[in-house]
Amino acid sequence: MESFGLLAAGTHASWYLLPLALTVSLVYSATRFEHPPQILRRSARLFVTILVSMAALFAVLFLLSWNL
Amino acid sequence: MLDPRIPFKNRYFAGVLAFLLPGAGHVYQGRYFKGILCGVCVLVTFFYGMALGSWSVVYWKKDPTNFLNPYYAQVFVGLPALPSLVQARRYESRTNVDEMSISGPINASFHGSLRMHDRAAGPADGFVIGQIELRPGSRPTEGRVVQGTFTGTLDKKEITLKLEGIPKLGKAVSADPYREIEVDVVDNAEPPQVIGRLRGEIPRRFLDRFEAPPDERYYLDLHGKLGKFHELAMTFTMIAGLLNILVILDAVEGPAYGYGDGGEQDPKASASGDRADKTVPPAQPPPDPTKK
Repeated sequence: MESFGLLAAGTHASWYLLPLALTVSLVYSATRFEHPPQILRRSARLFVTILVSMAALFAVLFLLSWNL
Repeated sequence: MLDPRIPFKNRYFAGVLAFLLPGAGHVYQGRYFKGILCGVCVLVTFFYGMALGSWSVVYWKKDPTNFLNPYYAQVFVGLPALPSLVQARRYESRTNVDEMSISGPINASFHGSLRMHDRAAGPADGFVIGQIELRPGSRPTEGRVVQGTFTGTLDKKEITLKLEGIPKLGKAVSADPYREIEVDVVDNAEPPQVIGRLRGEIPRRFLDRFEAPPDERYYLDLHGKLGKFHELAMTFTMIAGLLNILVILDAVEGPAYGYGDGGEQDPKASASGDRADKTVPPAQPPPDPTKK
């Protein structure tokens, strides 16, 4: 099991945003609402919001570091 | 105010359950969907982080200079993180030091190095891998010693070594999956003469390393191997703990935005003046305690 960390270390760190954003949006929405369809709908919206926000942040940082 | 449509039962007991095992509080209340959803998300995030960090990122180590100890967040995962407190006590115990004897027989896989005092007396120095077998013994001159054998390969050649003397074992409790061991190699004479030294590592017991604090050497070694993924693993386990705080609050107080019929609105319904969410059953008034 120790080698799992070393194996995972070969993956780009940005990919870890996907499962993390998914669990955060699911649990956050589950603690905001009670009705299951609404939880799923709101968590999907939050997931997309997180990804778009991070992509926008990435774009800004990418532009600011252009030619550095 | 608590929503009467949510079966809280004993909500404080549910909060304790939610702390001990993420999602268990909701399952106790009969809120199975949320219980399973939150439990799976929190536990998968926590254990994924632990696996990513080679099972060495969740531990309690008292550090007065560090007010941002990651364990302050990790502990909210509950039972999966609580063994750290027991392991920290064992790690800091006065008995958890390098040992010069063994209490029982050892039969374990071994890897390490062989260094001969006299090159003419036996095999050359080199890397050895194989099986080590030690048992407590005694000699009139040295008192308590260990006796045993090493069977394996020295630079891919079969080798058997006779071991005897006072061993040196690393501390029993630590996050490092391997425990250091050193013992003398002796010849077949009587009394046996020391001809070399075997130095290496044997696997540490799972219960002696799970959520135990790491030694400085192993901590730096792990950082060197994992790099930024060590911090990422720490982040996963911390986020799992922080998410479970929300889950505990939900088990005790209910969802932050209520049942769902007062917050979100269907755009079509809003346009037509109907502001209620049709996907959610309408609110029922709380039962009147005076009526039977």
